[in-house]
Amino acid sequence: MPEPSGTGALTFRFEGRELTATPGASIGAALWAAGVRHFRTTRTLGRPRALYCGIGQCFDCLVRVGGGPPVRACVTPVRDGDDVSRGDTASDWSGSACLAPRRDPDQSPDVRDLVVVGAGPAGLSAALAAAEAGVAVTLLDAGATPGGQIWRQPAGFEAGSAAGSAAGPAASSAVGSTADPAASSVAGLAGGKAGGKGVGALRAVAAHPRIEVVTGATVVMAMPGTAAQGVRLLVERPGAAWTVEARTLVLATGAAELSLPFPGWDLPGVLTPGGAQALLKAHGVLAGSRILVAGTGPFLWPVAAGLCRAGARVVAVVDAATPHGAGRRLAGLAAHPALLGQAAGYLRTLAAARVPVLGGRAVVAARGRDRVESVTVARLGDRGQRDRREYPVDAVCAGWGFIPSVELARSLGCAEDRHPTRPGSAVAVDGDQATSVPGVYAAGETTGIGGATVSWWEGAIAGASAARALGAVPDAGRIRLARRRLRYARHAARTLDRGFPLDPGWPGWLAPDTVICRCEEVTWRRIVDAVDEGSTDLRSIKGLTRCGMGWCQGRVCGPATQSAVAPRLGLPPGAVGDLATRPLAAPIPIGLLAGAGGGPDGDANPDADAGSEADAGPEADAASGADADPDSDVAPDAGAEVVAGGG
Amino acid sequence: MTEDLPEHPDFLWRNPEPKRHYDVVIVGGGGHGLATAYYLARNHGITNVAVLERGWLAGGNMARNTTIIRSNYLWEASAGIYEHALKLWEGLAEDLDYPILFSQRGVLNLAHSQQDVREGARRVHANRLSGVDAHWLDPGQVKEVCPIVNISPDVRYPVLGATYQPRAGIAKHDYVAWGFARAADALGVDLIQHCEVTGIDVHDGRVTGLRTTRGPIGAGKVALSAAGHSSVLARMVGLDLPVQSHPLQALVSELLEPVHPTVVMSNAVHVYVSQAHKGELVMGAGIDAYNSYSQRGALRVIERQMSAALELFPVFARAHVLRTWGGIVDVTPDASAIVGLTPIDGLYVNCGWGTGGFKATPGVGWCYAHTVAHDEPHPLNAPFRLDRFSTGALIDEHGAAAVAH
Ligand SMILES: Cc1cc2nc3c(=O)[nH]c(=O)nc-3n(C[C@H](O)[C@H](O)[C@H](O)COP(=O)(O)OP(=O)(O)OC[C@H]3O[C@@H](n4cnc5c(N)ncnc54)[C@H](O)[C@@H]3O)c2cc1C
Ligand SMILES: Cc1cc2nc3c(=O)[nH]c(=O)nc-3n(C[C@H](O)[C@H](O)[C@H](O)COP(=O)(O)OP(=O)(O)OC[C@H]3O[C@@H](n4cnc5c(N)ncnc54)[C@H](O)[C@@H]3O)c2cc1C
Ligand code: FES
Repeated sequence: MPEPSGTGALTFRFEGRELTATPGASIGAALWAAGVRHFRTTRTLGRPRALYCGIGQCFDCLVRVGGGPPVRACVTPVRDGDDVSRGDTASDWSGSACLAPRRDPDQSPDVRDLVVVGAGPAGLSAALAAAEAGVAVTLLDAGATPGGQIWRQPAGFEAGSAAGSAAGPAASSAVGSTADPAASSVAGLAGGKAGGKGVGALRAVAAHPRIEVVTGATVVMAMPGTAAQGVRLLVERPGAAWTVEARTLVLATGAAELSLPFPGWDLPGVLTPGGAQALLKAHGVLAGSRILVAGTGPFLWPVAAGLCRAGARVVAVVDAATPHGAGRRLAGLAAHPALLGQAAGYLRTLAAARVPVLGGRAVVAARGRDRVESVTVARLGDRGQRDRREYPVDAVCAGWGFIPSVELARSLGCAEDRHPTRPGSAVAVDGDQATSVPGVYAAGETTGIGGATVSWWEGAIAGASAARALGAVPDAGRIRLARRRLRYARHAARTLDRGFPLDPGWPGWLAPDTVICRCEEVTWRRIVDAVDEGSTDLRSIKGLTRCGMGWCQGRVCGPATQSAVAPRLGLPPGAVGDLATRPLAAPIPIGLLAGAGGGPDGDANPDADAGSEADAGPEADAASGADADPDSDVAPDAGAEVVAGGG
Repeated sequence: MTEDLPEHPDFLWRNPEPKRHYDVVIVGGGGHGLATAYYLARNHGITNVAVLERGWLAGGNMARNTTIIRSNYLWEASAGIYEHALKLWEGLAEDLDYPILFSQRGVLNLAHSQQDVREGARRVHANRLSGVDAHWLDPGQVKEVCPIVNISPDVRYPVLGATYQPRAGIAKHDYVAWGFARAADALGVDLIQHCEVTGIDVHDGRVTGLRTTRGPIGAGKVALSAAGHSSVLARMVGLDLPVQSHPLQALVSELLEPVHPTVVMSNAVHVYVSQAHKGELVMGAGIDAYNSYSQRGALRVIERQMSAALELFPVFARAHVLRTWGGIVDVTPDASAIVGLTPIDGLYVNCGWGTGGFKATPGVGWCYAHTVAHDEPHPLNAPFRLDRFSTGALIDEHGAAAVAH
C-alpha cells in the first residue's frame, strides 16, 4: 500500500489501476479526473455508468471501497490507499459478523429546541435568525461543507479559518441576518463563484455561540417524536447514526434538478448541469473538454460560463424555451436590474468564448459506445423535430430547472402544493413559513423554486417563527425587512418561472427503448404499455414496471415519468400521484437503523463529539467549523469496522 | 426466485363512469373488495356490481403488506378460513389466468422462550388436527431450512425451535390485486376509482344506496370492505365496530443475491423477513402501540425491531434500507376478523383483519360473496360474526400469533 505523501497527491486503486487524487477529492471527482467513465455496470442491460447528478441524488456512481457495501462515489471522499472497485448492484452479504446494538430506541432521546435541516442560504439564515433571538440551534447538512448548492465550497474549505477559505474580498465583511449576502446573486441567476458573498453568512454561522453545525450528516428519516409536537430525526454519517428529537424543526432541504430522459442519456459523460458545476466548484475538475449545455432555465448560463472560464470548450448552450417567448415572458425582469446585469455578464462571457446560445431547441439524442461521443440537437415545434444537427462532444450537461426536495416534509405528512405545469410538488407554508404540521417550518427551495435571495429571506422568517414558537422574541424590525425583501425577490422568481416553461410535448423525443428509470432500466415502451393496459397512476405503473423502485427511489425518474405520463392520461402532472411516496431521504444500512455503529458521541466519529454539546462555547464552534474539513470529518473506515465487527 | 415477471400483462380493466344503481356495491377496492366482486360474479352470477375506491385500486393495505401467506392459526375457525384461502391460492394463477407469483417457500415461526416453545408445540398439534401441514423444528433443523438464521444461544432472543409450514409462502401483492380486478372487470363488474363514499342511505332499516364524491349511487346491497377505515364507514349508519386502528410499518432493502430461501417470523420480537422475487429483503415490524389513521409510524418501533432482526440475521447489517412505509390496520379485541351481516338489512361488513388479511384474500372474497349473495354467512365465516363480541363466542388468536401476518 502506498505511503501517504503528506502534502500533495494521495494514491488509490481502482479495479487494480493505481491513480492519484488531491486530498479532499471525492472518489467520483478523482476517477473522473483520471478519465474513468465506467464506475459500475448495470444489472439488466449491462451498461456502463459513471457520475450523473454529482450531488448524491441518483446512485449511478456506486463503487465499493475495500470490497465493502456500495457507496456513492460523488459524496465519498477518497483516502490514501483506498482500494476501489466497481459497485455493481446486487450485493452478497455473507461474512458480516454479529452486531450488538448500541442505541436504545426507548432511552429518553436527545431533545433540541430547534433543528434546522439544510445549510444552504435558507438554513443558514434560519439558524442565524433563531440564534439571534436567543435559541440554541442545531444545523445539520449532508454536504461535506455547509453552503448548500449555491455557496458550495471547494473541498477543504473551512468557514472558521481564513487560511482554508477561498473567500474573495466580500468574505471579510461580517454578515448578520439583516444583511443579504445573496444580494448580488439573485433569484436563480446567481453566479458559480466558489466562496463569494456566501462566505460571510458561513462565517457568521460558524462564529455564533448558539449555533452548532454538523456537516456530513444526512437526516434520513423524520417521524413524529415522543415529546408533545416534537419530531424525531434519524441522522446518518458513514458508519454512524443517531436520533435527535426537535421541539421545532426548520426544513431547508433545497431542491434537486429536474432531469428529462432522451435517447442515450444514460451514457457516461451525460451529466446534470449541477453535477458538472459541483465537480468544478468543489473539486476543480472539468466534466469534459468539449461540452454541450442543454435543457431549460437561467441556471444553464452560469454553468456554461463557469465551464468556459475554467477552460472547457462549450460547443453550445441549447435552451428549449424560444428566445421570442422567453423575451416576452421575462419582460417583468425590467424591475430587477441587478438580475439583468448578472445575466448580461454570463452572456458576455459566453459571447467572448464564441459559444452559440440556441433557443427553441433541445438535445434529442446522445450517441456513443461506452461514453458519449456526439449529440443531436433539433428545433422543436408542432411539425416535429427540424434542423437536426450533430455535435461531437465528450460531455453533455442537461437539466430542466429544479424541483423542491420534499422527502422529509412528506414523511412528516406536511401538506404540499402542486406546480400547475411542472412535475413534483413543494412544501405548503403560510406567511410565517409554518407547514401544516405544528412545530415544523420550511424555507427556501423546498417550498418552491425561487433562488438564493428568496431562500435567504424565507429562512429568516422561518427561524424567527420557530423562535417565537419556543417562547423567544425575535426582532420585529428584521421580520418586516425580510417580508419586504421577500416580496421583491419573489416577483423576480415568479417571472423567471414563467419565462422558462416546460414544454409538455417533450416526450416526443423519447424512443421506445429509451431508459426512463435509470436505476431499474425501465424503458419508455414498458411505461407506455402500462398506461395502455389501464394504469391511471404512477403507483400502478411502478408496480407493473418497477419504475421508481431502484436505489434512488424515483428521485430521478419520478418527476419525468409524472410529466411524461400525465398528458397521455389527459391529466395535470399532480393528478397521477408520485413515484416517491414515502422515501427515506437517503438509504441507510439496516445495521445503522438498528442502532449499531457509533452515534454523534460514539467513538466511530470522534469529531462529532465537540459538535454535539448543546451549549457549546466558541471553542466547540471552532471544532464544528472544522467539520467542514472532509479529511477530519467523515470516518467511514472506523465506521465500517464498527458495523462489521460488532462495535 | 428466478421466475420472470410478466413483461406485457394484458389490458387490466376499464375505467367506467358509475351507473345510477347496482345490485351490489362493494366499498373499498383493496384485495378483499376485488376478490369479493370476482367471486360474486363467478360463483353466484351476480354481475351488476360496482367496487368503489376512494383512491387507486389496491392502493391501501393491499399495496403495503409484506405478503406472507400461511394457514397455521390456532383455532379451528381460523384454520378453516385460512386453509380454504391457502387452497384457493394454490390454484389462483390458473383460475385468474394471471401470474400472481405465489411462491410456496415455507414459513418459520421462531420460538425464543419456553413459553413460545409450548405455544408452538400446541399449535403444531392443533394445526394437524385441522388438516394444516405443520412441523416442529429444533434449532438445527431451523438452520437447515434457513442457513442464514443465527441460532447461537448467547443472543437476546435465542432460537429454541420453530413451527414450520412448508405450504406457506409469499405472492406478489400488486399482481394479486390486478388479477382479481381484471377478472372481475371481464365478468362485467364496474371498478370505480377516485370515488369516496361519504354517506350510506338507509330507509326503514334497509340500505338503499350511497353518497359518494362522484354523486349518489343506488344499491340493493352494500358490502363494506374498507380495512383500516371500516369504523369510519360504519359510524355513518350509527354502527360502532369493536375495531381499533393502528399504524403498522414495513421496509424494503436494496437488491441482494438470493440468500434467504424461506420466510421467517418471530412473534416475540415482532419481525418477519422474506426476500422478494427480485432480491430485495422485505421486513415488517409489529404494530405501533397507539391508535392512528395516519399512515406513519414511530421511528423507534422500526429501530427496536431492526435491532432484534439483526441478531437473527447478522448478514443483513450492511444492506441498505431504501424505503419504509406504514399502513393502517384494523385490530379487534380477539385479533380475529369480522365478516358477516349487520343489524341493517342489506349492509354487510368485512373488517378487522388487522395485520394478517392479505393471506385471507381469496378465502374472504369467496365467503363474503356467499354471505352477500345468500344474505347468510358461509359456514367458514359464520364464526366471525359481529355479534360474537356480545355473545362472548370469541376466537382468541392473540396468544399464538401476536403478530398475525
Ligand atoms: C445542483 C444545484 C446547483 C445549483 N447551483 C446554483 C448556482 O450556481 N447558482 C444559483 O443561483 N443557484 C443555484 N442553484 C439553485 C439553488 O438551489 C438556490 O439558488 C439556493 O441555493 C437555494 O437555497 P436553499 O437554502 O433553499 O437550498 P440549497 O442551497 O439547495 O440547500 C439545501 C441544503 O440542504 C441539505 N440537505 C437536503 N436534504 C438533506 C437531508 N435529508 N439531510 C441533511 N441535509 C440535507 C443539502 O445538502 C443542501 O446543502 C442550484 C441548485 C441545485 C439543485
Ligand atoms: C405493513 C403491513 C404489513 C402487512 N403484512 C401482511 C402479511 O404479511 N400477510 C398478511 O396476510 N397480511 C398483512 N397485512 C395486512 C393486510 O394488508 C390487510 O389485512 C389487507 O390488505 C386488508 O384487506 P384489503 O386488501 O381489502 O385492504 P385495503 O387494501 O386497505 O383496502 C381497503 C380500501 O378501502 C378504501 N376505502 C376506505 N374508505 C373508503 C371510502 N370511504 N370510500 C371508498 N373507499 C374507501 C381504501 O382506500 C382502501 O383501498 C399487512 C398490513 C400492513 C399495513
Ligand atoms: S431512476 Fe432511480 S428509481 Fe428510477
